[in-house]
Amino acid sequence: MLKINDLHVTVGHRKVLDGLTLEVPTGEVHAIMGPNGSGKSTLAYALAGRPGYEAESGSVQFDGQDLLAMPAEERARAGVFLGFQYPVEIPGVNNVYLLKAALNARRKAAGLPEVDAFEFLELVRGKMKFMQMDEGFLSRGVNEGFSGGEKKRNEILQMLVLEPRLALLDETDSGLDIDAMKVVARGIESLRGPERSIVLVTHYQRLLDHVRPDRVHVLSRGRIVRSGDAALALELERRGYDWVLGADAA
Amino acid sequence: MSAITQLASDHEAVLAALPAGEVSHAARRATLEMLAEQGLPGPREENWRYANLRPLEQLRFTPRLTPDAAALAQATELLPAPLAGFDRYVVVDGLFAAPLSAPTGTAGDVEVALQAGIDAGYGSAGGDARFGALASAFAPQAIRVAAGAGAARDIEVVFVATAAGSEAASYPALLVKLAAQAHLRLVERHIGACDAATFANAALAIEVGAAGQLRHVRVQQAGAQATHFETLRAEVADSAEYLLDTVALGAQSARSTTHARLAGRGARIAYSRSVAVDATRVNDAVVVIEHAAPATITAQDYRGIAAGRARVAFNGHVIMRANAAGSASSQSLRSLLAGPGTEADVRPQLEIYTDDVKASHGATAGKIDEQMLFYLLSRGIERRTAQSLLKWAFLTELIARIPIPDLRAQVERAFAQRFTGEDAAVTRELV
Repeated sequence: MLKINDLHVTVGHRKVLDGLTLEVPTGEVHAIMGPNGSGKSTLAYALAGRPGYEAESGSVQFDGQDLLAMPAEERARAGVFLGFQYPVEIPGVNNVYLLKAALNARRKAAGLPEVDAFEFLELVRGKMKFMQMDEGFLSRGVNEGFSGGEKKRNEILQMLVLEPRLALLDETDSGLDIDAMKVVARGIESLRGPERSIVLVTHYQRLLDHVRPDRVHVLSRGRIVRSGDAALALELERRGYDWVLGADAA
Repeated sequence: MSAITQLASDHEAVLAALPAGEVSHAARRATLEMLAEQGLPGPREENWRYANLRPLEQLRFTPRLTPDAAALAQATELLPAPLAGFDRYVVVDGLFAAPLSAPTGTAGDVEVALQAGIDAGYGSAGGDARFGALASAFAPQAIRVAAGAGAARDIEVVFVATAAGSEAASYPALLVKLAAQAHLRLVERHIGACDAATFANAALAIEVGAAGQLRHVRVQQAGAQATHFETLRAEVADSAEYLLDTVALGAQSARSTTHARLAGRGARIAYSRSVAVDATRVNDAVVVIEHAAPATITAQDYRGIAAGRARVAFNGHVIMRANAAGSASSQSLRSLLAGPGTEADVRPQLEIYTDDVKASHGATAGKIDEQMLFYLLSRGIERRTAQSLLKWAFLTELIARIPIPDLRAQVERAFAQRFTGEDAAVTRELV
């Protein structure tokens, strides 16, 4: 589904991704781990099309399409979803409006009619219940006044409603207490399936106790320096990043 | 003829016919002489450089002195839907319109009365209050609202301008006085015929007594060709609150001048202003809040959006006097440029004469927030739609605070009408 080849991204004056190559087959969950500043969030932003994170060279194929040639909104409509590390507050635009507009944009791109208003509310209510969110959130401004944990749940709620082909979750586990982590992990797990792929960007093993990755990659200085199965995350948790990075330097 | 010559000549011609009740003819004449000496504000004065004062050259300053049947009929057509629970009073071209109004007199411990003119300190006020002085010299009538501690009425005053400014001026004048402990909700609106180049020059004087609370919403929806000037003075006593939300979306040239004084310990003012103008309109406001007692608090918020080739300006000036120890002020002033030829000037100003205060301010003039835009794009929303949404969100942030649901809905609809093309399609779904 996702094929990244020799991707180079400079943010400001700093080269952040330096020849990153990665393949995520359909139906798999991959975890990207790495120390601060290794380029994890930059990878997520570059794939989602954030301005200022454009690729200098390299290629990204998504479902056979040239992802880098598409503007951010087209990537989203094609099925790419970015769960933000720091979800933005947008007072004045309520959650229900955003969810509906986003879902309809995706349906339109897929040649489907707009969602029926009643069915939409039923759908959202069901997902909110699953995410243990109060319905009052719907009428509030997007992420407005939400706690850190509520914002992350809201990201997962959006993901569940939009059912993306590729979910990029950027440190969705940061700032969550144990109970919230379980709810968020359950949301991610519920989306796991043969027709989609999930990329989890994370610092810690914690989330991976609840969402077992098929592959784990360690990112350092803008490239993947080691890949393995779920056991690699456990090894990292035990031995720290120096273990891998030292070996890389050697 | 220059504006000052015109106004001297108009005053001379009309003085004998003006009522001599609250403001004597001698006082009106003295005010006029002061104005003639100081001159009207001009673009070289710091607090007036962003206002559009040019229309003054084309205007007449003579007020109407007798009601006009056609104007009354027109005003009836223009009146917005009533607000549930509010007693409405209507003033057309500066004259009280009894047929369109609730009864005057006292009810529910609130007195609404008419008086012949307005002084309230404006008669001798120079400086930035000169347009208030102009109202004192010319206004034939004023509405006086006095609320007691048992106040149990909500009051709406609607000022309608219909007369062409090349023929007559209207002087909306309102005095509001809250006794100690009194709580009052007041809506003040300015509306006008959409195609007439009207001229309204409003003067307000507000007093909030100790531990009282005035919730005041001002909505300026003057006609698209109108010149609308307004001057407001307020004094807030011990532990009293003055909550003033202002909304401005009308007029070709609008200027709002406010001077509020926190005169008693623990007094508080929360001021907000939301502005949306397009085409070649100019909307300028200067708000001075003076902390003249200990432990006083202000919050000032401004959101102005300029589209087309419009200009918005806001000068938020906070003065902390030497006796204002323990006071705090915050300012959040933001403008949004929604067109290539637009201009915004947003200036927070702090003048502090004591160390023991907290003052914070933030001011931005810019374009749509890129982070918010990317968030919406990343959800598949079309770029154009996302931009419309963010303009709407910017504008309605403060409107959401209007504590009267009927009025808030009316204001939102009025703002939504400012959005055209693709923007309109978005706001239709949001309002």
